[in-house]
Order: sequence, then structure tokens, then C-alpha cells
Amino acid sequence: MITLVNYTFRLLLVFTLWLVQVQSATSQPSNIETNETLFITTDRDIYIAGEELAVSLSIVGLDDSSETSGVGYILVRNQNQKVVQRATVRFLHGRSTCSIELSDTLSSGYYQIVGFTNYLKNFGSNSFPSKQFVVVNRFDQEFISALSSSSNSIGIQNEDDLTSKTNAPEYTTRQGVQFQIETDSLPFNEIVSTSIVPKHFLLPPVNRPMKARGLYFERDNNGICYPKEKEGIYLSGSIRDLYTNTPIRGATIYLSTPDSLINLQYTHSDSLGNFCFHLSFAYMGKNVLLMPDPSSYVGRVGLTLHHKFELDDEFIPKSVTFSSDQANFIRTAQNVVLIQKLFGTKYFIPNSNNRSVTQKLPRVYTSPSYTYLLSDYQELDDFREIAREIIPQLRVRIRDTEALVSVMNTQESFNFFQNRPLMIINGMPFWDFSKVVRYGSKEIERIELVTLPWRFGEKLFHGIVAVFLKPNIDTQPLLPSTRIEHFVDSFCKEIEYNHEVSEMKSIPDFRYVLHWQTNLTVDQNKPIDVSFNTSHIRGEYVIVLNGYDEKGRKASTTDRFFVK
Amino acid sequence: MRIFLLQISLLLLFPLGVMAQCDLTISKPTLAGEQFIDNQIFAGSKYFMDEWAIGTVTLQSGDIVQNQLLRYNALEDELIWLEQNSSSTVRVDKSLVLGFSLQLPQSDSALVFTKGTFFKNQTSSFLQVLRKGKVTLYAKRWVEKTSNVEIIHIGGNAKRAIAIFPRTNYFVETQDGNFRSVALNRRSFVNAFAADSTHLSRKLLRQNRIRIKNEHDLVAAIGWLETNLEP
Repeated sequence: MITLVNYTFRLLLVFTLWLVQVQSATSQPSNIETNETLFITTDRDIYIAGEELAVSLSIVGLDDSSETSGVGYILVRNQNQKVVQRATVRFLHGRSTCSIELSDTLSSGYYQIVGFTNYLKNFGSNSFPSKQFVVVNRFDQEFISALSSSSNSIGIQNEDDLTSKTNAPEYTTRQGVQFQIETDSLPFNEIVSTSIVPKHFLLPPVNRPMKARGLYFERDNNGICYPKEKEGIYLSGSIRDLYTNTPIRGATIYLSTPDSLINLQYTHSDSLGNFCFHLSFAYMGKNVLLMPDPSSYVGRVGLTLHHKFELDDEFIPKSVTFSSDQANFIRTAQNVVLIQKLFGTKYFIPNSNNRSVTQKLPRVYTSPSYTYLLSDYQELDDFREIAREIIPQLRVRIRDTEALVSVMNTQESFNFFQNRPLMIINGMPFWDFSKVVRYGSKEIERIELVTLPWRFGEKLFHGIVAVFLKPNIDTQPLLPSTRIEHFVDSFCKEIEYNHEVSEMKSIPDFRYVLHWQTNLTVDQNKPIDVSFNTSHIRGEYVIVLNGYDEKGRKASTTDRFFVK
Repeated sequence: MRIFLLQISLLLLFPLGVMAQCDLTISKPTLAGEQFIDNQIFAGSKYFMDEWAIGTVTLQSGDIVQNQLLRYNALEDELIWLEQNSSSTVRVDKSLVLGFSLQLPQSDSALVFTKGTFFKNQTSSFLQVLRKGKVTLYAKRWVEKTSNVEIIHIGGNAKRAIAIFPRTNYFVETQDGNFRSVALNRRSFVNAFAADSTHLSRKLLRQNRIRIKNEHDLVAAIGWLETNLEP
């Protein structure tokens, strides 16, 4: 009886301890509330394929204690959930604006533009701000007809709430316009964007409601989390066994970019096979290669990357109807855009906010112990011959089909290292030297050697052999098959509206967007002055101001004028 | 009892596995350099601080490597790093480094070193930044190798070793980017700033009771100069 009580007591004790542990382990990560939110606005709601879309992505911190992300992402997807355009932006004082080219070949239909940060991915795609817009292909008449209505009462309503003073009641084509916005009447204190576009290029708002406040994230079962990106971006992925699909723990993953300067980074996979690299802005616009170190795992493995631009929700468009006037306007615009394309005029140009990247790639070494330029020597047929005749610090042996390479340790009485060196080809690490052995002076341009025990973080390399091939030689067959190549997008160039276009009298001025500005600031005591020129396009124009209030709530306000 | 303890251990480890979710190991910037065994023997220390100090290294790439055990070899002008996992000493590739800082033991303050070329035809070296402002004061910590040989005792064995002594030179950098050397006396101080401040004289220093007998005095004197004479 005593034994039974004793056993039950022990069991109960163990169970209680286990429950407490599990509770503390699982409750911690899900209890995180977002502390930043985004606003996305575009210059208008209807585009003709081939035009540029001006987009503004703004970030707002919801508390004062933490910094907001420094990098944002924008994607455009169609009804089939296919991402047709994407952009990476860098926030300057929480703002960014760039133009996205809508390809000529885009089919007519509903599209969605979505903005997000790496950090917001923790909260799921539902937390991302988005906007629906319509693209009409230049040659598509059916789409316009299908969406057309005989009525003219649909479209955006005339409920303008913006108080502005203009210098004339109405304007003629190609006339200078000046107007003042009274800041007292604005429903917000931060302006995100100002655009002046024809009424017929706007639609009633179909924006997804923002629900940033009080948004908690629930970590998914894959254990993926998304840190806040400030002075760099994160590139994460996972490594799994190819046959069993089980995650590989503790594998070393190398990342490098092809370069004449040897650069390298490494990290290890966690218990779920996930790994993550922090890439400085020096990697932007470069191709990176990720490769697992074969000595850090057993069996055959596969690498996969977690793609930034994959969303976990679907775009379900809300249908819109064009008024008959609007449909006619869009039909004319299809031809006008063709003329615009012929003149190749750019309405959005890079501005001075585009900062140059001061960061550099992380190098492994700066001065090799020895450098051999093979053009300085007589032509040799293969690498073994090169090592034997030219490079006394390098030993290459062939055992069966395997090529064994060792480097002289000039630190210790010129003995050779027992272990294999770090082998690099055109800036990328590789492990199978047997493929390089057949390369001779015709293929190899330069060989660099580090003949010292070289420490790189916790890694110790027993010398380094860096082979640089001639430009016409393909590196791909030499690299391990288990690798991933990934292009790190460059930052989308910050843009401003090109007002000079409106002053060029030599070209027809068929601008639909008369003005686009994202850097207006609200000073309660001062009205905001905006000036621009009208184009050759006649009709009703709408001034749209988008912004947010001190509580982070989005609002917009409009006013209108006529060009006759 | 053993089985009971084993049961507890296993069951307690399970939730730790749950906790391990999202333990993303993010790549960190690293130091690189030649691993070596320090077997040089001198009568005196070649290091600026004998003990390993926790420090931060700013790399040319713009990356910052934090919480590393560092020492500055003032004899060879090298940054030495103790790689803690392997307990190996590494001569950090100097060309990869922009500067570093060494945390003073039992203190919140750190000694900051920066790398640069300060005079023409000179290779870049590490200089300690003693003061930053309109006038920046640098100290070049170096070790002089003498021709004297002394007998030192290591592990009960007597060995002959070259005597070395720590030395320091001071440099000032004015806002226009000019570098001048300055010694720990009023005459040198006045000469260093003669071109920038015509009012500066040894008499003026004496009147204001500005003494320049040590490093601390020099820092204070430059502070006084900045406030009162604006070089």
C-alpha cells in the first residue's frame, strides 16, 4: 500500500513539473504584440498595362520603446495569387516611395498590392496592408465592356472633405496650378501621399481594414520566426534529409557571393533544420550561394529557402463596375499609353533619398600568403602539374577518384597540414577537388594561397586555396549539387514626381498623374502649398490626400477641379 | 530511486525541446586571422593590457563583432583575439579591422582604438582615441625593443630575454584634418596649436594653471583650449 502511495505521489510530482515546464515553454513565444504597422497607398486605382504604378509604403511605430523595421517589401499579385511584381524598399524616417512597372503583357483583371516587413510576417499575411487595383491591357476591349455599366452614377462619390484654395476656379490644358491645403480640416496629422489624377482612374476604396493594434502572433509548427530587419535583411531556410524529410540539426551552411574578393558567412541549422543569415546591404543586387558543409551532416540533404514574398492568405478580389464615361475614358487611355510608351517619358524619377551602401562583404582574408598568376608561367595541362611545377606550397594527390589537396603550413617549419584546406572557386567554397584537377593554365587565371592556420570565427581552416577561373569558364559544374542560388533584390529606387516633364513643350503632354508627393508634412499653423502643371488630358481631376492620425488610423480626404 | 531520477530528467527534457522552437541560429559577423601560439619571450610585456579584455571590433565591412576577448600587442601593432571555443589565440587580419574597444575591468568605460594612417608614408596602425571633439587626441601605444638582454625565470628555468619597455606618443587632430605630435609639456602643447590659436602661450597656460605633466592633464588642457580659445 505504501509503495502504491509512494509511486502515485512520485508520478503526480513528475506530471506537475512537466506541466509547468510545458506551460512556460509554449506560452512565451505566442504572447507577442506587434509594435509597428504599415500604410500602403498608390497614385490611383486603375492602370493601363505598361504604365508605372507609384507606391508609398510608410511604417509607424505603435510604441515609443522599440525601433521600427528599416526594410519593407511590396508585392503585386493577381487573382491567381501569382506574384507579378515585387520590390524591396528602405525606409527613411519611416517613409519610402518607389515606382513599379506594370508589364505590357499583364492581362486585364484585378490585382492587389501588399506591403509588409519581415517582422510583420510573424503575425501572418492578414496583418499586411493591401490595396486592390485594376489593370487594363492595352489591347483588351472585352474586359472594359464586361465591367461597364450604362449608368454614370457609380464610381467615387462627390463627397469631398478637403479644404483647399486654388488660384483659379478651373484650368485649361498645360496651365500652372497652385493650391493651398488647409491643415486644420485634415482628419490626420501625418500625410503619407498626395496624388492628383483624373476622377475616372479612381474607384471606391476596397482596402483591407488595418488591424495592427492588439495583434498577437502565433508561431507556426515549423518554428520559423522573422526578426526585425534594420541594417540588413534576413535570409532563412531549412535543411532536410532528402529521403526521410527529417530536419538536419547542427549542419553548417556557408553563404558566399561570386567575387574576386573571398567573402564568406556561415551559420548552423537548429533543431528543426532551420537556419538564418543576416545579410548586410552589401549583398543587395547580388547572387548568393548557400551550401551545406558535407562534413557537418550524414546522408543526402536538400536545402530550401523561406521565400519572403510568399503570403499565407489569398487575394479574393471585390468586383467593380465602370461607369459608361469611365469606360470610354479607359478606352482612350489605352491609346494614350501607347503614345506615352513611344516617347518613353518617365514621370517618376529617382530622388536624392537614394543612399549608397557603405557596407562591404565580409571577407575571409585580405592578403594571401602567395598569389600565382598562371599567365606568368609556361602553359601546363592540369592542376597536378601546376602544383608540382609552380606551387611548392600546394600538394595534390589522386587516390582512386578522389583528389587530396594539402597546403604547406609556413608557420611550422614548412610541414604540410594534415587536414584539407578551405577550397574556394571564384569566391565560392567547394569540396570536390577532383573536378578541378583536370583544369590547367587554359582554364585557371590565378591561384591564391593562405599557408597559415586560419581562424574564421569558430571555424579553423588548414590553409586556404582560392582558384580563380578565366571569365569564359563555367563554375557551375564544379560546385556541389546541394546548393541554392538566390538573387538578393536591390532596393527599389526612391522616386519623386518628375515635374520637368510637364514643362517640356516639345512633346505631347499626356500625363494622367499630375502630381505625386510623399514628403509633405503637416504643420497645424501653416497651409500646405502644392503647385503643378495640367496636361493635355481634359476632365475632372481629384486631389487625394492619404494619411494617418496619432492613433495610427488611416484616413483619406479629397477635393476636385476641372481642366477644360 | 535511480529510475525515478531518470524519469524526472527525461520528462523535464521534453518541454525543453518544445522551448527550442524558433531557436534560429542567425549568422553573426566573425573575426578572421592567423591562429598562432605565442611563444616569444621578452623581459617585459608586449601587450598594452596584460589581461584579456572583453571588447568590440568594428570591421571594414561595417559589421561589429561584440563580446570577444581581446588584447593589443603594442610591439607588433596587432590585435590579438582569444577564440573561446577552442581557446586559441588569433592574430586578427588587421586589414579587416577599422577599430576596436577594450572594456576596462570592473568598469563601464572602454578604451577605444582606431586604425588609420596619420602621417604621409606611414603604414596604418592602431591609435587609442583619448578624446574626441573639435580636437581629437590620440595615443600611439608602442613597445620599444632594447638591446639589453635580461635573465628571466619561467617555470623554474632561467632564460635570456630581450628587455622591452612600453612607450606612448601623443597626436592631435584638428578639425581641418591636420595631425601634429604633442608631448607632455607646455612648450610642445603651445607649438602643436600655434598655427590655430595665436593667443595661446605658455604664459597663458601658467596663468590658467594648466599643467601638462601626464595624459590626464593633456586631455584636460585640450578641453580647456576648446572651450576658451577654440582652435
